[in-house]
Amino acid sequence: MPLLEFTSKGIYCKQADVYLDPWRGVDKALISHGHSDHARWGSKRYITHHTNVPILQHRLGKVVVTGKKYKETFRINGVQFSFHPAGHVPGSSQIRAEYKGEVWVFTGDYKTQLDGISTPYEPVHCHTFITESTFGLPVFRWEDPTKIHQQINQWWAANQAEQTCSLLMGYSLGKVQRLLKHLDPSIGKIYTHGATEQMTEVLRPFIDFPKTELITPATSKKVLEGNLVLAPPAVMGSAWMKKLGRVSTGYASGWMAFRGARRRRAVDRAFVLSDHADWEGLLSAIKATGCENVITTHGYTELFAQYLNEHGWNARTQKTQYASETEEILSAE
Amino acid sequence: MRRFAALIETLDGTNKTTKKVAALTQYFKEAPKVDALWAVALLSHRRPSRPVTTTLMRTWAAELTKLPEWLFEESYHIVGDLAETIALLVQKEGTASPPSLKDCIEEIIALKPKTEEEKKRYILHQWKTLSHLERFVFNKILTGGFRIGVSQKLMTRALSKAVRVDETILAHRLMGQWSPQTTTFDQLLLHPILKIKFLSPIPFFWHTL
Repeated sequence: MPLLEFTSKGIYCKQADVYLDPWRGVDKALISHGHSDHARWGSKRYITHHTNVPILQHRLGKVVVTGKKYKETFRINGVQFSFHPAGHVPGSSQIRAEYKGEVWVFTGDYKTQLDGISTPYEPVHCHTFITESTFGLPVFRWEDPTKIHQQINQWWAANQAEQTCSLLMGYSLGKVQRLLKHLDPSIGKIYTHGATEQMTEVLRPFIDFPKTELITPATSKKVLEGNLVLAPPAVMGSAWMKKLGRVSTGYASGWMAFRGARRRRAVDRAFVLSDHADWEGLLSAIKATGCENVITTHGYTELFAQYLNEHGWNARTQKTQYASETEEILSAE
Repeated sequence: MRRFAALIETLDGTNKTTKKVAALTQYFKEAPKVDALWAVALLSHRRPSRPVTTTLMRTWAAELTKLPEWLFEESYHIVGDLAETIALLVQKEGTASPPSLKDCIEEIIALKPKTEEEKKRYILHQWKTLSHLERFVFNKILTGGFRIGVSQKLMTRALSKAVRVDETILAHRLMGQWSPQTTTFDQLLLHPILKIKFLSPIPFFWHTL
């Protein structure tokens, strides 16, 4: 019997009777990170990294949740569990499970690049590696993020010179804070959409961010001129956006790597910035675990598994309910 | 090549006509005239004929990137554009001085009668030395499918602003058969020789010439 198996409710450890990132309500759930496709409502008890505790409470309401430190081990019916940094968003963890010398690691989502706000990814030795493969295609190779942040600040400064408001969009948990962390506040003031402001407030105790101001119905177009607004992508084309006055729209996502995707988004500027590992990141992460078996859970799973099989791993895909298209989560935000 | 690639990026990155016209105008003002004339030719559907088949390009790209051919094909299928797929997969940073647009296109034209081996050597060299964006533009010129949301009318409007010649006159001068290999920017657009007017298919334009 495998240590972790895939059931209709999620990834299940029978020996410990716990689920990892379940998509249905269960008795005990170990949670990798706070994104809505991984941390779902309805379980009786949640165990996660302590940074995720306020995130889960913010998103799921009154839930019973216990926080753990990275690498802190705890046993459930003989199975030893621990959380390890995944570098995806603040609090994001890989979940390690060990029983009778056999080690499995479930990555949740991860990236090998540094983002300045998440604890950097650390490889964990294991026999079986359950990995995401959102960007598991060789066409995805990220540029140095410092270059992207420079481009964003240059875009903002150019808009400032034209007295145009810069509307910068990104996913509310992780991406927006990463953007905020690297904005240059000497260019102008930073305003936020409600969803962005709330999540940033949740993370402020852990991370030092530039000052932001929430946009309210009283905020006039005049004060926004030349300044920057952070918001979720769902505001694109909305009545809320129209109230901002003259804007230049910017969108930060790994999906913006393709020209076609950029055109479909129809934003003024697209920034290729992702919180997932790119092709090289995935391959280097897998090599660093020293694993023999790989299970790919979401993204370009089949192609990635086929490539791994041709290169010496025993790889297979497993259907899960984690969103392979970040775009889907984005529009639900 | 670098300036033209930057222009394509700007044109591609905006939906606003005014910004497109402004970027084109700036390009026509600042680029060397030989390059600007080739840009006019490319944007008015006068492209060099394709020196290699896309099948060959795909095989060479898979070889250069050391990817299995099936994975290259799957990537192409997902990206949906061969020029872009190759630009993304060949991960090279580019050299400090890429060839000028004129030189690059004339090299592509000169490629046509050459052997397959010579073509391969040239194209692989370009892939390895151009930056991502330049590689994309190079592939687009090579495959001949340049659709960047700029109509000939829009291009003419920008050109008119740059050279201060009336748009309708320019539109007329751009008509018919011409090639940057047999004419110059000044000859074609600024000081056309008079006999052109007798070749004109539209008599009511005569008085404006």
